[in-house]
Amino acid sequence: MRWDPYVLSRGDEFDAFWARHLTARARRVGIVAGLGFDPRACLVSQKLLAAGGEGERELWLICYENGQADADTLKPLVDANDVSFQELFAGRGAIHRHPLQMRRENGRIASASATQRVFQELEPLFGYDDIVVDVSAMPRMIALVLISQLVAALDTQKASKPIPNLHVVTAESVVMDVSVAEESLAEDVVNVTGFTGRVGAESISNPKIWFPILGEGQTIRLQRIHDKLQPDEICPVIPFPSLNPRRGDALIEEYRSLLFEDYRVDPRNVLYASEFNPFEAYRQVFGAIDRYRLALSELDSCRAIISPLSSKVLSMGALLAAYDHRAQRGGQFHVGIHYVEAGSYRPGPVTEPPAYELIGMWIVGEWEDS
Amino acid sequence: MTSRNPFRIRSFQRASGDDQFVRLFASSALDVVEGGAELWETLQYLRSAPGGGKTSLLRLITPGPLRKVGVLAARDARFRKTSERLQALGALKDGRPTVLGIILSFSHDYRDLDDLGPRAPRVFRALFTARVVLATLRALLEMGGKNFPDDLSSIRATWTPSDGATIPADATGDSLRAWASEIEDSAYEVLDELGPPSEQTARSMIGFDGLHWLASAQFEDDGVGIDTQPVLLLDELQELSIRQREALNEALTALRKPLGIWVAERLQALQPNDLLAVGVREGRDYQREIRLEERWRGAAGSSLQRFLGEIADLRVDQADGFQGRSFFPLLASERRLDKWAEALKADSDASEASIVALASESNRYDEWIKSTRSLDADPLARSVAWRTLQILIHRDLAREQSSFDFDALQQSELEGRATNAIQSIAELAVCKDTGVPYYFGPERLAQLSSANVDQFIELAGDLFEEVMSAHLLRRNEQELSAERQQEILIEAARRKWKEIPRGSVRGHAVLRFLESMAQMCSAETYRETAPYAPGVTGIGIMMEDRDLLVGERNGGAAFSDLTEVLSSCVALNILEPWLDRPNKGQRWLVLYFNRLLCVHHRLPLGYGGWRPQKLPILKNWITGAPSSPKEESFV
Repeated sequence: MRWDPYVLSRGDEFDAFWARHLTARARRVGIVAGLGFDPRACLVSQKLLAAGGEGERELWLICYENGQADADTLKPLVDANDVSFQELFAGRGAIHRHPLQMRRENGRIASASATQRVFQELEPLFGYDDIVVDVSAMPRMIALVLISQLVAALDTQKASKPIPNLHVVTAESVVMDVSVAEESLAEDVVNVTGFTGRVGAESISNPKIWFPILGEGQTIRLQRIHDKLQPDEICPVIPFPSLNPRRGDALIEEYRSLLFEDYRVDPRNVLYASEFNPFEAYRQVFGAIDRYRLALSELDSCRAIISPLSSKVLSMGALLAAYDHRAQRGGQFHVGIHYVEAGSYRPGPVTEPPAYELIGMWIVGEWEDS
Repeated sequence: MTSRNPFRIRSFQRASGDDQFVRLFASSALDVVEGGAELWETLQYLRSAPGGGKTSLLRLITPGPLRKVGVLAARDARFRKTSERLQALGALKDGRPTVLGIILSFSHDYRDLDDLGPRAPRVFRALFTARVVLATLRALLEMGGKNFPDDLSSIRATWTPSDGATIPADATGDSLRAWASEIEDSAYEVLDELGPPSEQTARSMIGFDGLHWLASAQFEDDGVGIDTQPVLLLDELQELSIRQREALNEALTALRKPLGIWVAERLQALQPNDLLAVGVREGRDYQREIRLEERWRGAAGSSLQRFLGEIADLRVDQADGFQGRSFFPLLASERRLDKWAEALKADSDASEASIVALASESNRYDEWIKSTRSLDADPLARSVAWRTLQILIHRDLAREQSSFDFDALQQSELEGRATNAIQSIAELAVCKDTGVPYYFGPERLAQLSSANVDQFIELAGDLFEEVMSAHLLRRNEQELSAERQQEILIEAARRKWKEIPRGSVRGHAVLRFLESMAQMCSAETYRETAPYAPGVTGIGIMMEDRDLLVGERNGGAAFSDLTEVLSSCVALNILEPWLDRPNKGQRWLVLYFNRLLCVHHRLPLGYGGWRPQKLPILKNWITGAPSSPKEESFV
C-alpha cells in the first residue's frame, strides 16, 4: 500500500506542520483553490500565508461556473470570497485565474472533462516546491479529477526529474457540509476521469462490485448509480468511527429498505471507514477491494466501483484507494469511481466561517523518499 | 424462491437470472407489440419514460430468456401465454427461438469520447462496431447454451467486407473477440488515461461497419449454420451525445439491408425531429415508433389494469405465505361509509344550505332541490348529488339569459345535465373536503401507475408491505381498507413530490413550475361551474410553440430555461407528454401531470382535461407567478 505509513496533519497539528514545513527552507508554494460561495474558501490560504517562511506564495484559482439558475443570488458571496483572496495575496503573490464551465450540451453537467481541460493549463504548477490543493470550496468532481491528474502527472515526472510535493487540504466542517446543501442533482451518472472501471465493456463479463460510501440524503444518487451499474455485489461503506457515534446506525436506518430489501445486500458486506482520517479510510477501502481482487483472481477477477457519497475527507481516502488499485490493473481487474454530480447548491444560513477543522494530507513528494 | 416483499426486488432487468426474469415477466406486456416478420427485418423505435418496461421487452427476445420461455411453457401452463404471444410474433417456434436478439446497452462512456476532438466520431463508430461484434458473439453462445468466452472457438462468422471495412471476412469467435476487444481496450485506455496526454490513441473507423457485418454475416456453431434472424436491440440511446445520436440514427435509417433493429430510448418531447435525419419518415425508413405509455393508454378497456394485475400476481406468488394468490383482491374496492356518515351528513347539509341561499331569488330550482332532497341513497351518494346540483345551478346562473328565470326546471332536465363527468368531479370534491377515500382500489391504482411499470411496482409494493404486516401479525383482515390504501398512496405521492427539487439540475425551477401548474389545474378543476369536468390535469402547448422551444424557429433562446425545465419534467416522468394532439384545428403538445402527482394535489386521475398555455406564461411559472381563473372555487 502506497500510503501506509502516511503523513496527516489535523487540528492544532496542521498549523505546526505548515510552520515547520515552510520555515525549514525557502519554498515556492502554489495553492490551488476553488472560487465559490462557500465561506471556507479562503481559510486554508490564510493559514498557509500566516505560517511564515520564505519563497513565493501564489494562488491558482479555479473559477468554476455551473450555470446555476439563481447564480445572481450567490454572486455576492462569490465576490466576497474573491475580494478576500485578493486582499490576502496582495503583495504576497500572483493570482492565476482559470475559468471552468461545468455544463455542456443541453445543460448536461460535465465537470470531469472540463477539469481535465483546465488541468492542461496548470503546467506551471510543476515548477513550485509545493502544490497545495485546497478542496474546501471545490465541487467534489473537480477536486477528485484535479488531484488524480496531479498525482499521475507527478508519478510520471518523478522518474526523470525532481518533482514538487503535493498536499491536499480541506477545512472540514460538518455544520457547513450540512448547510451548504446540494439543492439538486444532475441526471447523469458519470465517472471520475481515468476511473471508468470498464463497467460498460462487452469484452469482459466478470463481477462488478460496488462500494458506495454512504452519507446522509443520498437515496437518489444511490438509485441512479445502481440502475446504471447493475452491480453483482454491493459493499456499503459506513463512516465509523465517527464524530457522532450513532451516525452509522442512522445511516443504516436511512437506507435499510433500499439496501437490504430492494438491493438485497448481505449485511455481512457492510464495511467501515474512518470519518476522521482519510488515510485510514483509504486503507479500509483499499483492503476491501483487494480481498475481492485476490479472491477472484483465478476467476477473471472483478471490476471494483467506488461511489464517494459521504464527506470530502472520506472521498479523498476513496480516491487514493482507487488510484493505488489502478497500479494493480491487469487482466480483467479494473477500478472505477462513479458519481452523480450536484446540479446546484443552496447556501445555508451560515455565512461566517463556522467551526471547522483543518486537515492536511501529504500525498506525493519528499516524505516518500524519507 | 420466496421473498418477504417481492415488489421490492429491483434486480428485475439485467442483473437477475433468466429464470427469475421470465417468471416475473407478464405476458400482456407483449400486447403493445404488433406485427409479424417485418418486426425482425426493420427498424423500430421503442420509447417511454424511465421505468416504462423497454429494457424488459428487449431482454425477453434475447436467447437466454427466449429459450427459458420455451422450456418453462412446455411444463408449466403459467408460461404458455408468453410462449404463445412470442410464437404469434414470430420469435419462437416449437419452443425454440427463431430470432437472435443481440442486446447492446449504451452507457456514458460513449459520451466521454466526444472529448477526443475531431477523431471522436470515428472512435465512436469503432467502439460501436466492436461492441456489436462482441454482443453478437455473446448472443450466439447463449443461443447454443454455451459460455462466453470459453466456448468461442465453436463460433465462426463469414462475410464479404465492403467499403474498407476491417472486420475479418472469415473468423472464429476467438479471433473476432480478440479483434473487437483490442478496439474496446484502445478506447478504454484513452478514457482511463491520467496525467499528461500520451501517444495513446483509440482505434477509429470510417463507417458503422458493425451494422453491415451483422446484416450480412453467416454464422456457424460447431460447423452448423445458424439460421435464426439476428435482431439488434439497442438500449438507452439517450445516453449518447446529440452528435452521436444523430450519426447513429442516420446510419440506422440509411441501412438498406434487411436487419431487425429495435432502438429503445427515453421519450423526449423536446428534441428537434426526435433527432432523426431530415426527411426520414415512419413506414418508409423505419417501421414504427412504439410509445409504450401511449399504447397502454390507448388500449381497449381494462387491458392496462389486466397487465398490471398480471405483473403484481407474479410477484405476490413469490411472497412467503401468498403463493397462488392474486394481488388486486387483497385491496378493498369499496369504501366502508359508516365511519364517514357524520362528515358526509355535515357536507350534505352545508351544500344544501348553500344551494337554498343561491336559489332563494326564484322558484326555478325548486324541483331540482326537491328531487335531490328526496334521494334515497347512501350518505356519499347524497353528498355527491348535492355537489352536483350546486355545480349545475352555478352553470345555469352563469348562462346568458336565454330562457326566463321563472321557468321552473324539471327533474328530467337535472338527470340530463348531471353527466358522469360532473358527478365525478363532485365526488372528488366531496372526498377532498370530508376525507372520504377517493384514491383506492385496483382501478385507481392502475391509473396511478401512469402506465409505468416501475411506478406501479413501487406503489403496489408499498400497499403489499401493509398486507404482509397484517398477515404476519395474523390480523383478521381479508383486504386492505380503502382508508389505508389512500393514506399509503398519498404518502407515496408526497415522497415523489418531495424528490422533485433534488431530482434534476434545475430542480427548484422545476418545482416552482409544477407548483404554478398545480395551482392552475386545481383552480380550473374546482371552479364553481366545473367547466372542464372531470377536471384539468395538464397544459397544452401549440406545436408551433413547441418548435420554438426546441430551437427549430428563431426566438427559442428566450425560452431556454423553459425548455430545460420541461425536458427535465419529461425525462424524470413528472409530466407525461402527448405529442401532436389535434384540437380545434390545431396540433398540440399536451403535458399531463404524472397521475401520482395528481394525488398530491387532489386532482382527478382521468386524462382529457388540459388548458392551452402560451410560452411567456409558462416562463413566468418558473419564477413562481401563476395565472388563476377569475371564478370562485366550489370547494
